[in-house]
Order: sequence, then structure tokens, then C-alpha cells
Amino acid sequence: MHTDVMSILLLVMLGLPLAGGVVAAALGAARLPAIRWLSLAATLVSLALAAIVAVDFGAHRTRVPQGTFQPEHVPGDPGVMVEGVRQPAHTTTWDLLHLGSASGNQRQPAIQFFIGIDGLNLWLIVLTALLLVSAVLVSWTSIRERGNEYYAWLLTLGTGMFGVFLSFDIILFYVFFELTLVPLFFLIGIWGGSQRQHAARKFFIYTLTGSLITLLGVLAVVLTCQNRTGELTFSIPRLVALVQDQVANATPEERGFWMTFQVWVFLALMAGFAVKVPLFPLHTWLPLAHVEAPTAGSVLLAGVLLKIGTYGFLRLCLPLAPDASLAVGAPLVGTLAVIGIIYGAFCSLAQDDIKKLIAYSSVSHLGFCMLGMFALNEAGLAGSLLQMINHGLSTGALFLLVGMLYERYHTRRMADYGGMAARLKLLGCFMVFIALSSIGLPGLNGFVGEALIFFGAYDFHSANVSGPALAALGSAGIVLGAWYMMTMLRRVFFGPVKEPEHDGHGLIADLNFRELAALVPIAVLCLAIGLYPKPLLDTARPDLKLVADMMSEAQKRAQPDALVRRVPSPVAEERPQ
Amino acid sequence: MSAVPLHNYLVVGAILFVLGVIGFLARRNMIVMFLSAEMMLQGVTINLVAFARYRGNLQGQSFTLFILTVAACEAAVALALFLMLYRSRKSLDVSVWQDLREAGQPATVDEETLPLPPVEEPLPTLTPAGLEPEHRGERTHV
Amino acid sequence: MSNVPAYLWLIPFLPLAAAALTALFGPRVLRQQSHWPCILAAAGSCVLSVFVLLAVRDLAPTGPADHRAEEQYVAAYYTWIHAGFVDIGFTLRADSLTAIMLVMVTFIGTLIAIYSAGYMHGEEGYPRYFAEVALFLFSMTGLVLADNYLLLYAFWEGVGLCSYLLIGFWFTKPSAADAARKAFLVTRLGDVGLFLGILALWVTFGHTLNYDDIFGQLQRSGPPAWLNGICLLLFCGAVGKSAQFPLHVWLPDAMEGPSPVSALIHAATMVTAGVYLVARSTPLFVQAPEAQLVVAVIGGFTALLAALIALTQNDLKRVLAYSTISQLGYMFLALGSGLGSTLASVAVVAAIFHLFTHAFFKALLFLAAGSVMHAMGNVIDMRRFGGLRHVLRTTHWTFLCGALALAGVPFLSGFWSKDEILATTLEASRQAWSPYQAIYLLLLLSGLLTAGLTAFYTFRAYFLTFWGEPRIPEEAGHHAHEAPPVMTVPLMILAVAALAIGAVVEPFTHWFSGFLGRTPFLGEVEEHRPVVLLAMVSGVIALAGIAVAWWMYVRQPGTAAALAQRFQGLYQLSLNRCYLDELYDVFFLRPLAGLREFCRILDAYVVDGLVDLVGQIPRLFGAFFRPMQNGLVQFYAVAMMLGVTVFLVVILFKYGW
Repeated sequence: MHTDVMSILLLVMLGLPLAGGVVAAALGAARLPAIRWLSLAATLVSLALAAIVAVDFGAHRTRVPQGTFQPEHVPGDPGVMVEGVRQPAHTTTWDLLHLGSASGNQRQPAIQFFIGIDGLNLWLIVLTALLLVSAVLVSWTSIRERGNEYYAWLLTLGTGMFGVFLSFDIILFYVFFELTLVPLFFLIGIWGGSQRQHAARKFFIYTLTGSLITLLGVLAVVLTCQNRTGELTFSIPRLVALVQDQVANATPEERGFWMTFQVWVFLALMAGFAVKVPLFPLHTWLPLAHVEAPTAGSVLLAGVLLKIGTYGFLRLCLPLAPDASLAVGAPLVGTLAVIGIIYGAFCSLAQDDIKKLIAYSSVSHLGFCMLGMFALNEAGLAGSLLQMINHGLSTGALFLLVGMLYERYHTRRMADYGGMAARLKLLGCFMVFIALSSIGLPGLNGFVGEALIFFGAYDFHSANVSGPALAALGSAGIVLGAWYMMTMLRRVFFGPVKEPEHDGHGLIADLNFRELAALVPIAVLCLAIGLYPKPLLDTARPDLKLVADMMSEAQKRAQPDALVRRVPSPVAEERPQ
Repeated sequence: MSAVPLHNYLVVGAILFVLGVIGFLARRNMIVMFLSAEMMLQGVTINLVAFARYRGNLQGQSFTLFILTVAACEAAVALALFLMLYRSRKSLDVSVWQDLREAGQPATVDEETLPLPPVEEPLPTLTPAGLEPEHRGERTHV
Repeated sequence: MSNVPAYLWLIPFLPLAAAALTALFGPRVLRQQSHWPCILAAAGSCVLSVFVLLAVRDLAPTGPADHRAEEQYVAAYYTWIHAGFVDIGFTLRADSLTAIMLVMVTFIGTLIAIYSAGYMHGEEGYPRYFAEVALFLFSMTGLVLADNYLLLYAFWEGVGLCSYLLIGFWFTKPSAADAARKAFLVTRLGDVGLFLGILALWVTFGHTLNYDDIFGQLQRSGPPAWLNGICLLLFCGAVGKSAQFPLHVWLPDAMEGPSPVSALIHAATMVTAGVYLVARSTPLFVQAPEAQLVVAVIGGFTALLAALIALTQNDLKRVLAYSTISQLGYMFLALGSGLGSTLASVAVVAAIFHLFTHAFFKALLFLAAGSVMHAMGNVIDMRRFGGLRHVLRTTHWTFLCGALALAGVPFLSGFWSKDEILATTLEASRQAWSPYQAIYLLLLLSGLLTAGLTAFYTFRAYFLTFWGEPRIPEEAGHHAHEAPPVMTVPLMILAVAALAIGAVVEPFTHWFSGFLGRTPFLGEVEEHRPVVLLAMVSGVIALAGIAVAWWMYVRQPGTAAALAQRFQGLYQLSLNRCYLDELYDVFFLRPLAGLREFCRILDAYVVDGLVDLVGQIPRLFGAFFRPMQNGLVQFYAVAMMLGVTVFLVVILFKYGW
């Protein structure tokens, strides 16, 4: 048994929010102050654990994944002996549900409790933990009714989100994927705005419909792999290895089958993830859900839940359907992403509701994310991953700020505001800062991601889509993004002071310590990633390279004749250090 | 043993069952419908017994005993329910009870109404025996 | 001092530290002393920049002329972005071009920071102002120090941000807030082009963005197919940032910012970033003559257009703003005229020389205008004041120095640099191999015309402000006196520089061209042959312009009004800035607003409507089956029986009797 202390920390991190939620629910609505502190403690501990895991991972990761994902710190890792030294096997023995019987020396096939860390999910987990703390802090005074249930759902949502990112078993992934829906459904439906029930229902049914199709795709992959190789497995790394192996060694007759199979699997998996992202025509649930959700719900929805979609693409779609990603994904998703970038920006410009504006800006930003991912090269993938983190930070912070504004004035209409920067100085400063991060100002986080995405997209060439054209069209988003953000700033924060009606008990105060505590870490991270993104990029590089290599293999298969691998010219090598 | 062939029993059971079905579908009096349903049960029971005899084991018999027991319980519960239903709407017509239809659907109304039941003569009542005690106007414990 | 990489990073980071310090402690601790970090940091950077300049000068010119990459200091500090083939370092470099820009930026920055301490005194956002100015100095020095295009782009956006923040310094004023937004968006429009150009460079030149790598590769392997396009994309960025036609509309509005900001950002430094970019990319542009022609035409046209508009503006700062646009046009005219590698280095020298002198006299003019504004209670409309030469003595004579230099009066700074530009254009029109000779000749004539117009409008502003009947608006109150020394001393220093610096550094010593010519990948600058005839013509034109202005506004003050009456159409065209803002509104903003509304409606009713329609499908099925649920027990029973019957029949038919 090869267990290490980090894997235990992972388990605690995953379970702690749920446990806190159960206790919060049990404490009853009357003990709201205790519940608040309990929730804060639970999320803070999770954040600390996530930070420890991240630092440790960044410092000690030595093995580069070969051929398939190799999660580290897997609880229940049986370990293997390599040259007399016990090494982690990157698998688990913790079975949840046995299916069929053991054959030969293979283990009994089972759905497993298989969680772990690798470069793709590490920073998403840190992001989740950070935003959870902010979500608890921002709910502190705004939630007064049914507080115990509220925090219970919020914390359950936390466990669900951690679970999605941590899972390396495809069924476990799917279970957590759906588990995130339920708490948010209640958060929106109970503590939301005036149209909350409509919004909650639409959100739930829309995303559920998509993800059911994803389930079909998941089952198709599992069963086809069993059919072709005789091995029934639900482990994502194993499935990826099997698919890659099958595709690479397919005879010419089999190749047609695998191509068709991959296209269908890709489309099926995409259905759920595309709704979640959301890709262009499937985005209409998002503004509604964002506008109606309570602030914490919006923060987590924008900051983390949308990333589940993009993460799903990265973790499942690309490795399990590499050829289809190239042949179908790149033209289809690339085009939709570019449309989403421009269309989302224009919709954002037309809004009068600040929350709606930010919601549509998410459509635009996630378009960047998908554009980078379907550049299918390392730069694009890295940019996409970074953009997930960046969007989580900056849009999360934007929703926090809007929530704080709303808590003071009870309106989200921009026309009601004016010159708020003179009235609420700190809030104005943060708003400008985060807006700049959101529009990709160099030196802040957004730029690094966007730059990498564009580099990647510009460098992408395939038979049926032109990367430079997509990049050129997508770059319109740079201006449009600045346009709507600056317009929002101009209308709400600059200009003559115009305060909406408020309850009138005294002056409206600027940010207090609690609100600063929710914002400052995010702002600091925005700056840090903008100036020094190396830790993120370095830890993710081996895994991104893994995925990128799968894609370049697919490219080779697609164009065996035009096998010109683009390598940096010697000039780049001999640059002065 | 004089062998009455199996299919004779089956035919009797089938006839009983079909009579029950027809009764259940055609009659609207709840008690009659209930009786018809019992008749269907008996048809099945005869089948079971006949097969048990035919196969030479007791499984069918034991099932029959179960069915009888359950039917008795049913009868008790059903008659109690009918009584309650009758009390609330003063009718045993099953079509009076269509409240479980889909919301927004119109009620099904008979095209031609049944003739009203004849007004029953009140039963003759006997004069009570004995004398009513004198009321003294004082409070009594009831 | 010789170990340049050891302190090179301090040049941008001193102002950054000052910015951080002022931002964190300004409002609570420093308050009205918030100018100290900024001034000290700017002065420190200035000293270090001079060190860099001396160190670069001391580098011995070694090796062949076409490969002198060692004539610079490159300091790689850390890897900024590294993923896949993208490998961008935070690398600074100091070569001749950078050193000159650095000295100019930090020197003027220091003077303006000092001036601001007087000008902004008592403002509510005093710490914010100095934090933002320091941040600007950080970005601007970083921009000229960057060793690769992406880092340049990063700082490029950084200066844009500071410009945005400082234009909108008085953000509760709607016009200032609008101007800030406009400036940011219009320049960003150009920046997208720059960014795409950088992407194209990256892909074309084998995944590198280093100047030396790109230029070296270009020299070895000749121009790639898309070089003209790439150069034009890069030029897009310059057009936006340096306020060239058609993206010049933001600069006049940017005058809503405080005057020192206009002097620092919108006259001396940031707007010249575009010129720097094109000058830096000269090895690319030399190989793309069509792109060069575009640069020259846009430059020449902008110079003329802006000068024409400046003729009739009533706002003193707007006159200066259009004058800035016009002078920047000159610089691009020079850069665009650098046909072939020999002429290119001459062109770069001319453009950077003009940039250098222009920075001094234009900063001076803006600061003097600020001083006027300060005294007049923030009134800047020239129709409302006049005859100020006795009220504001120092301001008057410093303004006059600047105006003379700008007008190109012989032997002052502006004269020398403008002359070099015109000489370069003349040279370009003489290149027999170029198919565009005629166009360059036309550009030369337009340049000469612009020179006359420049002299005229400059002195129109000067005479209107300082001559005539003394008039002081009532807003001035008790402010109507000369500014304190903290403001006038920088004016005096700049006035001296405006008069003399041009003559000192170039025409007699050729120090400037010799120094600049040692920038790597820039060809050797051949000895400058002054074209005496051209210089005489331009000098006469300048003097004539001044004379006309004197005639129209001092001698016969009614002439201007009469002329305006006479040529009403032209007058209105110029006064209303050729209606360009209105044209953009109609042809650009309105359609976009329409598109915006279209998207909103499309999203709400079509995209979402389709989703809701899909949601209605189950309900449709429901409506079909709903009547079956009629609540009649016997109906259900019939259905059950029928169902069972169907099953029975099927089973019987399938498996036989």
C-alpha cells in the first residue's frame, strides 16, 4: 500500500466541506453566527490544504506522465516495486461497485474511488478553494433566512466541485459532475432574485439534458473499449491509454470504425460540456442563472462551474477522441468559440444590468478559452488552462464586487448609478483593477492567458480550418472586451455622482475588512499570475505536453504525407541568455 | 378417479374471469364492480387449483388460500371505503369520482342521464318502547 | 557604471516602487507630500539613464556593420511566459536608440513631476495622481527597454492604461471620463493590429520575438512573403498610439486630463511610442517598400490635416494637441521615406531627432499652457483671455521660446529636426529605383505647406493669448498671477532646451546621428549633407507664417474674422475637425450600436427562443396524451384490458397457438 500524507490531505479537502455542510444543516437556522464561522473554518482549511498540496506538487513532482495521465497522491495506491524501491502505481484499490468477475491476473472490474492530482486539475482546485472562501465571506450578511440550509448547500457544492476536478474514474467524475447541479439549483431557486425559480429550473434542465448525452458518450467509450480489448475499466488514465493504443495501432479497416466512433463520442461528450462552458448557441441559461443567483452562487457558477465544462473537454474529449477533435472539433468548436467571443461581447454591450453584462462577458471569455484549447498545441492548451484560472479569478471578483454594490444599493441597473468611484473609493479601485485584469491588460493575469491562446491559435494549421483566420477574428474580442468593460466603468463608477435610492440608514460605507479579505487574495493572485505565471505553466507543462502530443499524433495520422513538424529555427535556440 | 380433464376446469375459470371483466367494465355501481373483481379472482383461483391438482403438488392450493385471505381483507377495506364514499356524495356511482383526472381536463359527463332511482318509501318505524325519563333541567354529565 | 545589466532594471522599477509606495501610503501617510517618491524615482531613473547612455557610447564599434548585436547590453532577468514554442523572457536591452529615448523620457518626466507638485497642489486625488504618473514612467521606460515585441506590447498597453487613468483623473467630470474611455478604446483598436502583427512575426520568424533574432534572420534569409502585411499590422499599433489619421481622434479629447499629463504623455513621450516602434522595426520596414509608402503617406497626410484643423481651434490646448498630431505625422513621414538601408538610417535619425526636440518644446508649450490655465482658473478658451504677456511674464517668454522652436524658426531646435525630415523626403523622391518617386515629391510639398501652417497656427495661439487687450476671465479670481517657482523653473529649463538642444546635438557635431547610427541592425549613418536650399525655403516659409499670424492677429485683428466670414465652408470644416468625429459616429458607432441591439434581440428572442421552443416539445406530447388521464376508473380498466389483449395476441401470433 503506497499511501502518502498528501493523499490523506486530498481526502480531507474533498470531504471537509460536505461534513461542514451536514453539521451546518443540523445546527438549525437559529445558530447562524456559529454556522458562518463553521463554514468559514471549513473552507479556510480546504484552502490551506489545497495550497499545501499545490506547493508540494510544484516542488516535488519528478515523474513526467508517459502515454496517459498519471495522477499523483492517489488514495489507496497499491504501489509497484521498481528496482527495489516502492513507487506509486497511479492507480487505486478502492472499489465502489464491482462489475463482472476477475479474469486471469486482472483485477475485478469496478467503479473506483479514484482521485488524484496532476498538472491539469491542480490549479483549478486551488481556484475552487479560494473562491469558496470568498463565497462564504460575501454571504456573511446578505443571507439571513434559512442560513443553515444555505451554507449546507454552498459547502456541498464545494465538495462537488472538488470532486469533479479530482476524479480519475469516469463514473465518479460523472457523479460529481451531476452533484454540482443540485446544490446550485437550490441556491438559485431559494435565495435568488425575483425570477429565481424560472432561472433555477432552466439552468437545471438545460445542463442536465446536455450531461445525459455526455453520459451516453462515457458509456460508449467504456463499452467499446471492453468490446475491443476485453478490458472493462472506468479509470480515465486506463481508458485514455486503451483508446490511444487502439487508434494508433488500428489496421486500415479498423481506422474507419475508430473515426466514426470518435466523432460520435466527441459529439456526445461535447453536448454536456458545451452547455456547461457555455459555447455560443447553448449559452442562454447563463445570463438568467447569473442574474438570479445570489452573489456566492454567481461567483462559484462563473468562477468554477463553467470551468468544469472546459476541464471536461481537456480531460475527456481531447484524449478520448483525438482524431475527431482534430477533424470535427477544431473547425466546429473553433468557429463557435470565435462567434461566441464576438457575439458575447456585443450582447454584453447591450445590457443595462451589470450582472448580465458580466454574464455575457463570460460567454466571450470562455470563447477565448475554447479557441485556445482547440488550437490543439501546447501553447494554446496552456493558454486555455491559464484562461480558466484567470476567468475564475477575475469574473469571480467582478461578481463579488457587483454583489457588494448590490448589497448597498439594491439595484443592478447601470442607469441608477454614476460616479461610484468618488463615493466608494476602495470598491472603485478594485473594480477598475479587476476590470483591467478581465480585459487582458498586460501585467495582469488575463493577458498571459489570452496571449498564449492567440499564439497557439495562430500557429494552428489543419486541412479544414485556418488558425490565423480564427485568431484574427477572435482578436476583435480584445477591443470589444475593453469596450464593454470601459463602458460599464464609465457608467457606474465615473461621471457625476449619482446614488440610487437606498434604505437611508446612515451613509453607505466603503468596503469593510470582511469584504477586503474576500477580494485582496484574488487581486494579489491576478497580479502575481500576470507578472510571474511560471509556477502555473511549469506544473501543468508535462500534462499539457501529453495532451498536445496526442493531438500531434492525430495530426500525423490525418496528414501522413505532409509530415512537417514545425520546430523552432536554430536562431531561437542560440539566443543570448 | 374419474378424470375430468384439465381444460374443463380452465374453461370454467376463464368464463368466470371474463364474466368478472365484463361486470367490472360495464357496471357502475361500486359494490357490483367490487363483486365482479372478486369473480375475476375466483376465476384465477380455479385455474390455480386445477393446475395444482394436475401437477400433483400443493403450490396452487397454498396460493389460493393466500388469495382468499387477501380477498377477505380487501372486502373489509373496500366496503369500508365505499361506505365513506357514499356518505360524502350520497351515491355509489363510480363515475361520480373522477377527481384524479389531469388538471385542466373537463369532467366526463354522461350524454343521457340515468333515470332517477325511485324514491324509497320510508321504512315503517315502531314506536319506541318504554317512557322517556323526565328532564329536570339540571346539568348532566354526558 | 560599466555593469549595465546590474542596474538596468532599476530604471523602470524605481518609478514602479514609487507608484506602489504612493498608492499604498499616499492617502493615509504622505498626503500632500505624495510627490516625493515620484520625483525622486524619476530623478534616479534619469541619472541611471545617463549612465546607460554613457556606457552605450563607450562601447567600441566592432565587427562588420551588418552584425553588431554586441553593441548593446541585454539583460535577461527571468522567463515570463513559457509554454510550447512560446518562450518570452523579461529581458531588457540598452542600445543607442533605447538610451536616447530613456534619457528623454526620464528627464522630461522628472521636470514634469516637479511642475506637477505645484500644478496639482491641493487636489483631492493628489497621491493618486503621482502614483499614476510614476506608473506611467515605469511603463514608458519599460517600453523602450523591452528586448522583444511581446514585452514591448505589454508596456505599450501599460502606457495606454496610465493614459486612460490620467485623462480620467477628474473622473466625475463627464467629458473627462468620456475622453479617457475614448482614448483607451481607439488606441486599443490599433493595438489589435500590433498584436496580430506580433503573432505573424512569431510564426514567420520561427517562434521568436527577439529583435536581434528577427532582424538577424531577416538579413540572412531575405524578406518573407507577408512582410508588407506584417509591417502594416505593426504600423496599425503606431497609428493608434501616435494618434495618426484615421485613429487620431482620441488625442484632442485627451486634453481633458491635467496639463502636465498632456505635456508628459500626450506630447512628449507616450504618443511617440509609435514612432519608436516603427524606428525599432526599421530593418523590417526597409524590406517592405509598400508599407513604407503607407507610413509616409499617412504621416504626411496627418501632418497636413492636423495643421489645417489647428488653424481655427479656440481651445489653446487643442491647438497644441493638433500640433502634436501634426508633428508626429512629420516623424512618420521621415520614417516612411527611408527607402533602402542607407536612407533608412538617415530617416530614423531624422525621425528620432525630431521626436527628441519635439519632446522638449512641446512639453514646454503644454506646461506653459498649463500655467496659463492655472492662472486663468481653468479657462483655456483663447477667446476669453488675452494680452497676458504682462500678467504672466515667465510663462510668456517660455511659451514664446517653445513657439519659435515649434514654428521652425531658423537655428532653433525645431528647425534642425524638421529640416532633416524634409531633406530625407527629398532624398526619397530622388531614388530613381523607387516606383513611388512622385508620391514622395508630393509629400515633400505637403510637408513644406505644413511647415508654414505650423508657424501660423502656433503664433496665432501665441498672439491671441499673450497680445492684444488684457482680458482675464472672472473664474481666475485671485489666481491671475505668475505661478510659483516650482512650476516656472521647469519651464525655464525646458525653454533653454527648446532653443538650444537641437543645435547642440546634431547639426554641427553630428553627435546624435553618430550615436544613433550604432543601433544594431541600423545601417551606418552617412555624413549628413545639409540641403541648404531646402533649409532656406523652410526657414522662409516659417517666418512667413509667423508674419501672417502677426498681421492677422496683432496688426489687423479684424482680418481673421473677415476671412472666416469669406470662406465660411472651409472655416467650419476646420473648426469642426473635418467632421471626423461625426463621420465616425455615423459610419462606425451607430452601426455597431445597431449590431449590439440586434445581438441583444437575437439572443433574447431567437437563440433563447429556440431553447424554449425545444422545451415546449415535451409539453406538446403531453397535450396529446393528457385527455386519456380522465379519472374514470373504468376507462383505465378498459385500457388495461386492451393492453393485455394486445400483448396476448402478439405472443400468440409470434409463438403459435
